Amino acid sequence: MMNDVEKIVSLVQMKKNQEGIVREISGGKQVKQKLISLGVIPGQKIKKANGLFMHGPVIVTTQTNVEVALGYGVSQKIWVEVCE
Amino acid sequence: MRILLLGNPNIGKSVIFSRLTGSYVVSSNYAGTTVEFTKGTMQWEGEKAEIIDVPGTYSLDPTCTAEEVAVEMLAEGADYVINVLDATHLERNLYLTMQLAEKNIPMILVLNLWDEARHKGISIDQHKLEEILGIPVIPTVALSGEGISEMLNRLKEAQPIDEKMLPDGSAWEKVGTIINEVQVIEHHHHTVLERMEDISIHPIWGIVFALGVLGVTFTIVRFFGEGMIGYIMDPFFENVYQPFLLKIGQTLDGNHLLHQILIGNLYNGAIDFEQSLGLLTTGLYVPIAVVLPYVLAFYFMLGLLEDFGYLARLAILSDNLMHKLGLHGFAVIPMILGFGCNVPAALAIRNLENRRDKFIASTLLCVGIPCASQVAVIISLLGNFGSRYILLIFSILFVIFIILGFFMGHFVKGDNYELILEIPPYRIPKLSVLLLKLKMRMKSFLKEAIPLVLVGVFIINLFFLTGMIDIIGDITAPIVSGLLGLPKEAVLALIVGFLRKDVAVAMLAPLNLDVSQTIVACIELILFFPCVATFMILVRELGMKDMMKATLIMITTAIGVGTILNFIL
Repeated sequence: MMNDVEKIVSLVQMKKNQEGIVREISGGKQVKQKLISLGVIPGQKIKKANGLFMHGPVIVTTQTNVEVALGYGVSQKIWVEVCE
Repeated sequence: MRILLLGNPNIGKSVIFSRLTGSYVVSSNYAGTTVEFTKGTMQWEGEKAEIIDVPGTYSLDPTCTAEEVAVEMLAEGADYVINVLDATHLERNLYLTMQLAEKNIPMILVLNLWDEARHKGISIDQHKLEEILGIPVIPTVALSGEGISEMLNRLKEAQPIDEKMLPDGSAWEKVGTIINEVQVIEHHHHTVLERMEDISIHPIWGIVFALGVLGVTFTIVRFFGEGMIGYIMDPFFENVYQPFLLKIGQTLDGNHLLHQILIGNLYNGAIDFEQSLGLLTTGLYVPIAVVLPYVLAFYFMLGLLEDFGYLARLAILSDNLMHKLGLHGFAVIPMILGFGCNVPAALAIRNLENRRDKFIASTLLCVGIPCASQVAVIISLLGNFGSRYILLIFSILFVIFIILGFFMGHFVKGDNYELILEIPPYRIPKLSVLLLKLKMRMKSFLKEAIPLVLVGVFIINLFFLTGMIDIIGDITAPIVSGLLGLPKEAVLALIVGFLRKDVAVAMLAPLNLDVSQTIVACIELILFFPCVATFMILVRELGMKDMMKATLIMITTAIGVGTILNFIL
């Protein structure tokens, strides 16, 4: 198997402590705007810190080292390129 | 002269505002404590300057009402903008600065939480930043006052940011370039607080932690409230105040009407502070002796949790449950505030994004969350029967809250919004700051509660003295007595409940209700209607039409639940 295969997954599918680059946010303008202002920005690094069970929020650390909690629904719409 | 304090949420703008104007604004450790702007004045350079504490916003493209307020304030014009930034998250905060730069208003930058940034191993070269932006940059620690006077001294150097001086690219690219030049972050070891941060949002330990926090909070509130009533308030009212009142009563002997209104009924020649229903007896006893101790204890604990930064974590943990009710986790914050007083809770609803969320949250707040004043009187009323009945009332409310929320989540049209919340760091609150916040909250409690309680008691007397109680009682008897199984006089409690819930509950004391009637009556008072202060705020937030719909849901729920309880209890 090759190393460093790049793969795009949603935040929900990412593993705990995995890092990646945000590639796309599919969602309304308002949601995108709010995410961007908090530092969840296409092209920037993001790290999944934790995920609460039973479709609870996903907790991420942004490139600017801000901890943000994102609802399960919105986390499904954030696409991240990860290295495996 | 008009000066705006602008910046991201939860970075200490309100603390700076208080320092500048000497007037106090409630601040906490989570985004969105300030939802309305607050105006104040200060003397600056021999001039009277108007300062405005603008609700925190992440960007100038608003995503909720509080942020819209910020944009509107800016559109109305300003002579100076003091852009407050969180030094621990400079990169994200500079984004707003880049947007502000386009507005061409003279501005200075304040890097607040400077001490915390140092602790976290973040060093910022403020001189370099000043050079790049061409405006004064001042590090501050608002809580201790460090840097505030320098900020005032340098305000006159404020000027618009010259955009030509900034690096090229989009707002974020500009920020990135600037950060590379001015900020260095060293790795540092995890502190105890940071470990606690991790535990409290851990999928399993987080819930254990939450139950622990809530358990400890309720125990302390109860212990403190009961202690203060038993050892301070009751002895004072019985042994010091009662003889004094009885003397007044004797001098009023000839005047039956005045005696009735001021002191009320005597029981075996003595005053019964819970039942006499006079302005000077029950009218003062209820707000001061019964309600104040619990409100004091509750607000102290709430302040502690707020400033520590726990409420935001509770919002994350409950996101799951709140989604089932058509809301998201942040809605838990107004609910928790509601246990103190529904008025600030109704204001906090402004932080929710859309009409649907606001509608559901308001209705649930009014129906399911009794305020501390109301709970205090319920405890004193039901305490004699045993504390398991108080637990029963809370359990009934919880079930109603969940069922009603579930229905509304399914049937109220609109999108289910998602939680997007910055998690604040834990901070050890300063006792002086906590006490100041407590003092302000108690002050506004006393200022609002006592006059309304007195008006309430007066109205009760008026209804009895004029015989109106019989007329209204007879009209409403089919519902009050027929469906709810209460004596017809209980309707008066429902009417007074609109004014002030604590008097309304106190008013049940002289009716000699049995346990199940008392439970039904207390539940009715909680469900039926919000108090007038809450009602007015919600009309403003929701609009008359939605508020009428919400009211209809409340009344239907109240009558439905009351009838069921009447038959099963």
